[in-house]
Amino acid sequence: MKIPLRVRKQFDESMISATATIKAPCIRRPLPLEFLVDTGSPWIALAPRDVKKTNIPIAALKKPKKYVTILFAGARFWRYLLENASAYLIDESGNMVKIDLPIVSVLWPTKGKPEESDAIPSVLGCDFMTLGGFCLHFDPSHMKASLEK
Amino acid sequence: MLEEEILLKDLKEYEKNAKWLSAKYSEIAEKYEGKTIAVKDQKIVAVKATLDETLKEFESEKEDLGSIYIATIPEKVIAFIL
Repeated sequence: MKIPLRVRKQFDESMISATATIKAPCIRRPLPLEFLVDTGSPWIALAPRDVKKTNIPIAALKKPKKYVTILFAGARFWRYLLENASAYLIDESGNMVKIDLPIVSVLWPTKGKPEESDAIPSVLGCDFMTLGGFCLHFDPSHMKASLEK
Repeated sequence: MLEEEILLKDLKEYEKNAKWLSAKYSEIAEKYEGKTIAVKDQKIVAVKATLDETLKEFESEKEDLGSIYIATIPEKVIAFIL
C-alpha cells in the first residue's frame, strides 16, 4: 500500500507534507489537516494552529507524566494528550486508510501569544510510522515522497 | 451522508487545494507573506492578517471547514527548523 505525499519547495528546499484527518472523542468535527512528515520528531503532534481549527478543548485534555514541556521550532510548548485517536489518510487508489493512535500530542505555547506560532506545522513523527508500519520513501531531487508498507 | 463518506470527501477536496497551493507556493508566499490565506476549490477565498480572524469569518458565515485549506505564510526572514 502506498500513500502519496506532497513535496513542496519551502525555504529553498524540499519539505514533505501529508494530509490526515484526526478523529478523537473530543473532536466534534474532524477536519483534514496538513502535517509535516518529520522523522526528527518522536511523536505525531498537533500544532496550535490545528488545535484552533479543530476546536480541541485543551483544558479537557490530560497532561503527560513525562515530557510535560517540549521545545519545538525554537519555542516552548505544553504537551497535552489526545487519547483514543485515529488518523485517516488517502492511499494512491483513493481509498481511505485508518491508523489507530493511542496518543496524539497536542501542543500549546507556554508563553506569548498563540498566534505567534500559527505558521508552525503539525508533525507526523516516528510513532505514526511505527504504528502504521510505514516506510518513508523520499526522493528530494525528483520531488517525490510516499509512505509505503 | 455517512461519517466515513464525509471524511473521504473532505480529504480528497482538501488534498486538491493543498496540491494547488504547493504548486504555486513560491508565488503565493511572495504575495501573501505574513498573512493567513484560505483555499477552496483551488482558489484563494480569504486573506486575513491572522488565523483567528480567518476562522472567525468562516464561523460567522457558517462555512464548513471540511475541504478548505488554510495556511499561514511565514515571513520571509523566518525559516523553521523543527
